[in-house]
Amino acid sequence: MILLPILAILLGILLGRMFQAPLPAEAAGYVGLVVLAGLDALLGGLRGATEGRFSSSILLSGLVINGLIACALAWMGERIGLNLYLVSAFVLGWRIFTNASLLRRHALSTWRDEQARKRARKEGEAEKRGA
Amino acid sequence: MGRIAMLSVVGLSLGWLISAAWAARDTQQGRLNRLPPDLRAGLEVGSLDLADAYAKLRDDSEKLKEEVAKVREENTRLQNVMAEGQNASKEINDSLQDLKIFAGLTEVEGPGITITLRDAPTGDEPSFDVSDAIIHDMDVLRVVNELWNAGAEAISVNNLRVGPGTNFRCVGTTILVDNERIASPVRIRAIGDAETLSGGLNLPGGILDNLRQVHSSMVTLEPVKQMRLAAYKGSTTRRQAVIPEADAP
Repeated sequence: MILLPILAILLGILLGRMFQAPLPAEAAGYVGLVVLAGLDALLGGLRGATEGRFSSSILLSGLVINGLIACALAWMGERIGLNLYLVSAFVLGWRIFTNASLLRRHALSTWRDEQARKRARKEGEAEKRGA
Repeated sequence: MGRIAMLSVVGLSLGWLISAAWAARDTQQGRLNRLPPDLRAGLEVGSLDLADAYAKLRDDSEKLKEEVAKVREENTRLQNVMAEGQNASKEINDSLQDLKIFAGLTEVEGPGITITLRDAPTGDEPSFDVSDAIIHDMDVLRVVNELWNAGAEAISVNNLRVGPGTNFRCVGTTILVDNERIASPVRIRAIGDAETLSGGLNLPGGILDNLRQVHSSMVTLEPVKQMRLAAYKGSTTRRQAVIPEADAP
């Protein structure tokens, strides 16, 4: 289930490479920030899905608003001579790590539960056979 | 299922964006690669706006300079053709060509000397001030000045012809000759009587003497039997000066 969005990213990269996205070179930095915001939203959404409180409106608004804020900060930073895009990159990167680690813990704990359940079932069957 | 589909759509557009950023980055790198290596070293991809503008301007100016050289050559040829067969205009043309040699606007050839100034080698015991070990704009200026004084008829510095308005300035670690950057080794070539020219330069206490005292390898001087100096490539535009009307009676 979790694999599907990741596969979609790869497919998107492939499609983008095949049908060259026409983008002025000057926009590269901003697109990079939007990519970070998108990754953040995606991982946040996955985390929400695993925790059972996924909301598409939160996902989309977060994606758009965070991307806009990141770009606005970068734009302003360029005007006032302060590398403000670093702030966005830092915060978004931080959130990506947090969400990824929560996802990892969740996946690990469900896997462990599954194993424990299997073991219990086996023991139960053995007991029945013994009885 | 709906949420995973939603996330997949976000993932798809995210992938597309990544490849867009990737392509834009490639464009930047491509632009940067068009610069000569010595300039590229100091530039990051981030500052590509300036780099791109600079590369474009430099290419343009290079092209224009070539054009100017071509037009001037053509001009010389036409003047020569025009003068042929017409004695009066031939005389005018001769004096015109003389003036053009004087102003550095044509190629010239003849015997002379070549002086090469280079920074003293590093690593030697610094028994001298480090600043003395470097060829400065003032050194070039003084050598050129001395050459004129000794009767040089045409001078070029690293293949840049020295014209009437030519100036030598210092920018950071390089020397500017009419806004062209040069650096050590500086090759100064002068057409004239080799003996007189080298005699003037080698005067005790003169500029070359000073440099040799810092390190003998900073100066090499050799006579040349025949050489060819390029024409002056800079601007000859006038804005203010005009020739005055005929003298009032």
